[in-house]
Amino acid sequence: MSDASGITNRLAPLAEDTVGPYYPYSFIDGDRSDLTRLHYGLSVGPKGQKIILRGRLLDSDGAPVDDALIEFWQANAAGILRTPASDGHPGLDPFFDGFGRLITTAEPFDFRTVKPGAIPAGNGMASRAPHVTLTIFSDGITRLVTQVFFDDEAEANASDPLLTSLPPELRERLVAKRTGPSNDGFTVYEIAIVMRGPGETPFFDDLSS
Amino acid sequence: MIMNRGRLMLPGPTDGAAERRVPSERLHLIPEAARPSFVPWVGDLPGLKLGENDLTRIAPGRPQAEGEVLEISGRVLDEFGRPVRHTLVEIWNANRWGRYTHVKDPVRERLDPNFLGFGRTMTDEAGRYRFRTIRPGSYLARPDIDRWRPAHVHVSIRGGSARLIAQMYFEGDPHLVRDPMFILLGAAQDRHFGKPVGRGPNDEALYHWDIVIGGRNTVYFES
Ligand SMILES: [Fe+3]
Repeated sequence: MSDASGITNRLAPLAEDTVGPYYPYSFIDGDRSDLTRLHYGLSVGPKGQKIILRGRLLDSDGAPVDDALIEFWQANAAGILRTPASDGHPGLDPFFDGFGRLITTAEPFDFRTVKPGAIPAGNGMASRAPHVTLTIFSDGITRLVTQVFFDDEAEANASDPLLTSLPPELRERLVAKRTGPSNDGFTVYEIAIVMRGPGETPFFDDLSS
Repeated sequence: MIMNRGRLMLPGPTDGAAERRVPSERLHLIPEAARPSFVPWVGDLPGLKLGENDLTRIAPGRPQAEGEVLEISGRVLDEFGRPVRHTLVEIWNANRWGRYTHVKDPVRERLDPNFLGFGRTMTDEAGRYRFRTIRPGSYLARPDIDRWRPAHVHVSIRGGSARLIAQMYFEGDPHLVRDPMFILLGAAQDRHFGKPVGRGPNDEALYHWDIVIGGRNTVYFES
């Protein structure tokens, strides 16, 4: 095989498929819907502003999509993504790895986390506004990937390379709106993720970009 | 004028809800400057317990589930043939009668008290993985239109920042020719077959299946 870049002997990848209706719930290890505490009864935890990203996952009828698996990925409060590339970085938070996971129900989901910091520019990359990456798995379709931003970060959002790559009318669909604090003092941000139809959320192609 | 033209997703054939869940717009391309944060790194995977790659028993020492034992092994590779090391491989499959233990499975076939139907393992330094499971039965996925799914093993690869959901099929399954999901694979059908490579010492059926992860996501290598 060869491709446009002239590289030969590439292996052909398997085809992405749906998780189907019977993806085992039990693959979820413990509770990854709350990244603000390590374990019940421990007072230590990650640095940063505690937030709830409250989302509604909706289909083209505006009906809630239950039984979808959503994975979350984000930088810590200092804007550092925990990857092998950041190993040893002084800004890493020992109590935060940035990976969350939950199954949706008919009710809005609450992802409890700390607000990600802006990712500083570096390695030729522009800085990124604070954001959370969402990967959505649902029966009948392959992965959907998008990123969610925060409405109280207008200045950073205005220069974010991903947001500004979208037509202006689509940008606000990726911006969560701050509402009141929760009873337990978390700042709540709300967003609707519309999988199809009017108000459809922009999703991204992480295979062929 | 901004050109944002990624793939157009289409609904899969398995679920009546898919056409309400698949975006109508083409996916948007990711600008190079925004790529890094699209690549999750699941570094803090919980430790695996002994026997989690053996689906034929619900725990070591427990009775063996009914049906033919399969041993599926292979490597997880990227498109350049490099091993994807220390990555989590999860599989799940129906029991020998085609029933999942999943609470939402409406199939009326028997449950096997000795079969949960899901397991996981980590790839080793060479990207190798190995599972033992029970040969899954085919199942009536859509009773309303009498549509059967051929026998298959689901697989999910995560960790190491790569991500893939796929299915392994068995060549010669009579339901393959009418399975929309298999038909959609087109020219890629062959690489979704586990290759039978004989029988093991306990008469298990041995299958070899290499899992090649594509796309442009970074594949991190642990040192
Ligand atoms: Fe299945």
